Amino acid sequence: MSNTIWIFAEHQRGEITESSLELVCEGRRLAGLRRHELCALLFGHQIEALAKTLARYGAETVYLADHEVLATYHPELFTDMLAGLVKTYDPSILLLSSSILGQDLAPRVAARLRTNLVPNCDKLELSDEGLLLQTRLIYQNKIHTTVVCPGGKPQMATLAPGIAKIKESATPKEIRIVPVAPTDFLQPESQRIEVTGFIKADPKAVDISDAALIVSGGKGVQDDAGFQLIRGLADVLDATVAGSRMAVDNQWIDRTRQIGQSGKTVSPDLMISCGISGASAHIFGMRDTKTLIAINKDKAAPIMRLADLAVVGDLHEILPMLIERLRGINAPKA
Amino acid sequence: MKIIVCVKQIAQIYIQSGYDPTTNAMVGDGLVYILNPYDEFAVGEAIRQREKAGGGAVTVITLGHSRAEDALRWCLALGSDEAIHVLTPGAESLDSWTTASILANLIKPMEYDLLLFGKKAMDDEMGQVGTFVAELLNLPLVTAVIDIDLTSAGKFRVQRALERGDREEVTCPLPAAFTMEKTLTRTKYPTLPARKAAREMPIRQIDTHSLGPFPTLPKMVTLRLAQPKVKPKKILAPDSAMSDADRMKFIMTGGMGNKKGGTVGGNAEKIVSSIIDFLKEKMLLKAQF
Amino acid sequence: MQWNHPANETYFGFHGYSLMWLILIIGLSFFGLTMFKRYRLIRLGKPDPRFSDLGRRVMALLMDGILQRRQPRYLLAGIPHILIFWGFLIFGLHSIDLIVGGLRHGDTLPFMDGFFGAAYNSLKDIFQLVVLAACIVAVYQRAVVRPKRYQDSHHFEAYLVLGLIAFLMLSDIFYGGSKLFSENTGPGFLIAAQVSKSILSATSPESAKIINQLSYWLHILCFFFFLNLLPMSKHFHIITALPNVFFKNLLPGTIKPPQWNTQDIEQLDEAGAETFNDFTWKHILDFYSCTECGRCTDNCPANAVGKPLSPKKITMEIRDFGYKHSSLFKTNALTNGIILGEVVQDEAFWSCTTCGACEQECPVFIEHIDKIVELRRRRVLMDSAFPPEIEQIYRNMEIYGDAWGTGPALRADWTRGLSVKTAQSTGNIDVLYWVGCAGSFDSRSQQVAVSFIKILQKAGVNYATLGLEEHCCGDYARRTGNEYLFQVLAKKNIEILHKYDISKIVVACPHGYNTIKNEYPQLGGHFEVVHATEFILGLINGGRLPLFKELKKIIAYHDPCYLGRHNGIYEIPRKIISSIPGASIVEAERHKDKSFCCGAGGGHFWMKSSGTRINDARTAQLLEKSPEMLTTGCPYCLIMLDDGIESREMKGQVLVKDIIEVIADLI
Repeated sequence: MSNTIWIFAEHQRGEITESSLELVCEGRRLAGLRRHELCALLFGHQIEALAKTLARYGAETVYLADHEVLATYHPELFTDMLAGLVKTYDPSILLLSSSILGQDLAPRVAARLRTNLVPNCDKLELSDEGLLLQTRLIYQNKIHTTVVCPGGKPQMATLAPGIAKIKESATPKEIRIVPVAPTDFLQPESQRIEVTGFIKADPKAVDISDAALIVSGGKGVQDDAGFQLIRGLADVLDATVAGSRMAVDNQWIDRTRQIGQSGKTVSPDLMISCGISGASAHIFGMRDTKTLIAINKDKAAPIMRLADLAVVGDLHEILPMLIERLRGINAPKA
Repeated sequence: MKIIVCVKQIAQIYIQSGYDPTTNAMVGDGLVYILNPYDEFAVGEAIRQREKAGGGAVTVITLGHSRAEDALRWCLALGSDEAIHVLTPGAESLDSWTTASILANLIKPMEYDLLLFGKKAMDDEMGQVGTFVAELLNLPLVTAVIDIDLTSAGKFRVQRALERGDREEVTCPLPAAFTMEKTLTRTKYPTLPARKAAREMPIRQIDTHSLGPFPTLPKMVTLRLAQPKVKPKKILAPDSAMSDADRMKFIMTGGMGNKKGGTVGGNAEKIVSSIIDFLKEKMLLKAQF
Repeated sequence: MQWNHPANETYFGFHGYSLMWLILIIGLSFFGLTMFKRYRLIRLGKPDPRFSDLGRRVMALLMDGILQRRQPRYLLAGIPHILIFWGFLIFGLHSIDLIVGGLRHGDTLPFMDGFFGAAYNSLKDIFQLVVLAACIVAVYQRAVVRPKRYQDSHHFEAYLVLGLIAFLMLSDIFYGGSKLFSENTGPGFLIAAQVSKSILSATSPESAKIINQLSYWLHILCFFFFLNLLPMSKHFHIITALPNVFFKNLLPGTIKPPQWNTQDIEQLDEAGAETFNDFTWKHILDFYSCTECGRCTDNCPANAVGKPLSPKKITMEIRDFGYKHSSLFKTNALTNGIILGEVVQDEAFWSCTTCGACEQECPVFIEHIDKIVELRRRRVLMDSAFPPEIEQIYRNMEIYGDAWGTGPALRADWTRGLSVKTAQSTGNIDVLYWVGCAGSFDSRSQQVAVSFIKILQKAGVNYATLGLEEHCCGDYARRTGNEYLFQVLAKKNIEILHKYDISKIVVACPHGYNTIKNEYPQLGGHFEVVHATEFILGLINGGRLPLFKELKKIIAYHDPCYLGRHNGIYEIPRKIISSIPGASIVEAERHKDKSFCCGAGGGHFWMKSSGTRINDARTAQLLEKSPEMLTTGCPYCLIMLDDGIESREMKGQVLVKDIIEVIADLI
């Protein structure tokens, strides 16, 4: 068994994903504990430049598989390749991110390798024997448990998002790139699955708990005519409409669009919240919002303290103008 | 169509009761046992597939303590045709490889077109038994499925859930294994006659020993169980209108931290410009996506 | 110049005597045929035991049937009806007298001579005028006043009957008058006859004689015509109302079990009502007895806020369906005659809050709630088709034992720091405090539970709670139609109560109170159950709870449906409030048994509500007399009124408290 820590890096739209950067940093930290080598695996098409990014964050070797057939994720192919590489190079530790892709790929690889996988870890340590001590939340975040898999070769885990801090390496090494050819690992008889289509979420129809962009309205909207402004803003931003309990009680939106304790939990990248004061029950449902713009007449409303941009003003005056301006900006885009 | 669904009965625990740190086991009064929600989606989908195919059978299998029979009876009341209970009286929860090898040995000689699992169990949240069983039985596997259909050529065509509500369409031949995410259609609440039939149906009970021998596979060892620490964010205090239980939930999940964000006011023009600048700065405008 | 009795005359070759027999036979035959059809229909109904407690039933017959205790609740319609009804009771003998007279060649019934006859006939005559006047008032009411509750009624039929009654009066008055004209004297002092006699005096003796004969025969014909009309119209109640009152439901607040001869639902393959004959014979008698008065719908809170529920319409339409599809020989049209979803729409019966106002008002004691619950049972237990938001509640109750889905482990959280005794650790208690799910899990109701503990501890009561072992009482499950879940919960609770040897229970929630007291006996749970207000009044009267502080407030008390109407507890909460130094009560116009539901019952606490909400309407009513505080004795009413005050943004101005809290603050 070689003293290497492998991490599987993912990329999207020409960039390494945030969770993969976290993964590299965590890998670097672990590698530093026992003087292990940190290697990254990168599968894709026309992604050579990304190897350099991985180097900046501490990867020493990158197993790069750059081929047209890897342009999008294919479970069986990626499994065959990753498992095949592990069998060939025998790393001690293999880590993936707990992303949707990771949740699919990691168990497949663990199954192929007949090793243990501990998913969604929020803390990783190394024992004296070099085993991973994996800590994670179970029972829906109610219990913290630490486990170890003495017989697992390689030691496998997926890392929960938001755990590791993303920081470039103070001492980046010269990257060694090992090209990998998919054809070496392709087993046609195991290729039974075919990915035949991709359906992008429609902001109007998607469940609000999945939505990336949300425009929400509450009591301050006052009436259905006012809520039309909310819908108009969502339209121009290609965002999803949601609201507080007030909006549901007043029948401006359906109950499936209610954010809050008795409604749904949302985690958008951006939320523009209009006329919502921010009662705890509502905040409970939107606490995972990444960026929050809150528009409210009352600057002391609880939600204003939580906003990245607190806008003190009347949404009935602001929204029409905002919609106009945004329409103008979006128009040139075909 | 013949469908097999593997289900698990899980314990629902609470923050103040549920585990004993000295014995590393789940204990306490007020423990509630439920059918794993993702497994119920799987059962629902299985029944739907049987209806669509115009016939067949849905067999549910569980590995567990004798009280897991309640979960099987519920699956029967939902419309399953047959139930098998592999009794594991000792250990509360077996690890993934142990579970998978028992299930694989049980299922191997059975006839089926479709093998379903829930995406993950909400107790240990490992989410890999389905994948391991598919590997042991050499079945094509698709995870996080929300809808199943058959093509005219007799292959499965499924939709699986990606991030943010996006979906992927995948095809594969029969027989196949899927792990189920929250499905588009739901089960119907059991009727009175369904409950009666479920009560009276005999459940096949099997001892794990009779399913051996099992391959040697590595085991996971639990070192420690503890209550998680409250996330150290400065949170908005939950208001008194919330019940104790909700307040606990709120604090445990960290609420929402106070931000050091900017404030804008003034006339509408100024505000709108500030908002647009903010969006541009954060690279959040559609044109920038 | 004594004329012959009209029955002794010959008309176109036919002797009056044979004419009389002819009319009698034809009239009675057709009547008998129709009655037979109606009887066959009732026989299709399911069993329903209504012969218990005969003494109470006779009392009910007297007070509500004969004395018509409920009628004056609507004065303008009620008084005339009482008079017409008593009139009919009196006329019965006279009609027989007239008919028998025709069959006995003019001789009246033997005991009609002498003093009795005189007294009776004088009374009868007075009542004839009274009834005539009442008919005029009734026509005025229907044609001019046009009360909203008469909507959907068969108006033509109503006018026809009023006309027939008036005609019966007039024809008899003129018969009497013409007889008086001929014989100069009659039995007793016949005031009506005197009046008509003076009118006849203005005509010739020949005309008077014609009128004598005409009025007699027309009266007889009209009588039999009316008789035959009865079972074909809403006036069947004339025959069925008294039996319907006799067979009324003597058990307050209870819903009938799914089947009377099988209590355990696990033995049944079917439950609920889908077709006409899924109802019991008593239900069918109810349908027969509907007078279309509309008092039920007029008091229905769901109807008042525009929901598509009209108990009157439901009853009428099922009855009309039954009449239409019943024949002498074949009644299988009815076994396939689907009521559920066809004659009665889902939106209608799902809107019901089971408040009981309809049953409180109905002068013939029709039981609406049972039928609505039976329709719901079919939808829930057989069709699996019910408002979607209820399903999660059912799952929560089944898995966690409470509608909130919080779970048994957290049920006693509200007791932290209060040293509340539990049955698990205390033996030999005097009374068990049944907290209920609202008190255990809802943050507002928890405050009330804490207040009650304060009262129990201050008064030194030897009490305990069931701690974590209490389960939802099952009231909502039952009333939304999930009888299976209700029985699962009830049986579990009864088992636990027996385990701890509980005999006396005090409950703060009227729903729990009603269910444990009145419905658990159906499943073998017999306990002595009191409501918290009864218990508190007992403590106050026994001197165990001296009220030290003053409360100078104007208080309006809202009667919860399950405490008031369903269980008759009206005065006790008021007595409690009166015993508070400084407090004064104002009553909303709709109070006591006319109270207006808060809107939470019948499962509606958990259902989506569109349009004007019932609780908003009720809050407005309670605020009529500008009280400073609203009080009630039910956790759900409390939450609904709280919500009502908040949505009017009067949160600081008008306090909303449970009586338990009010008292706890003063000790």
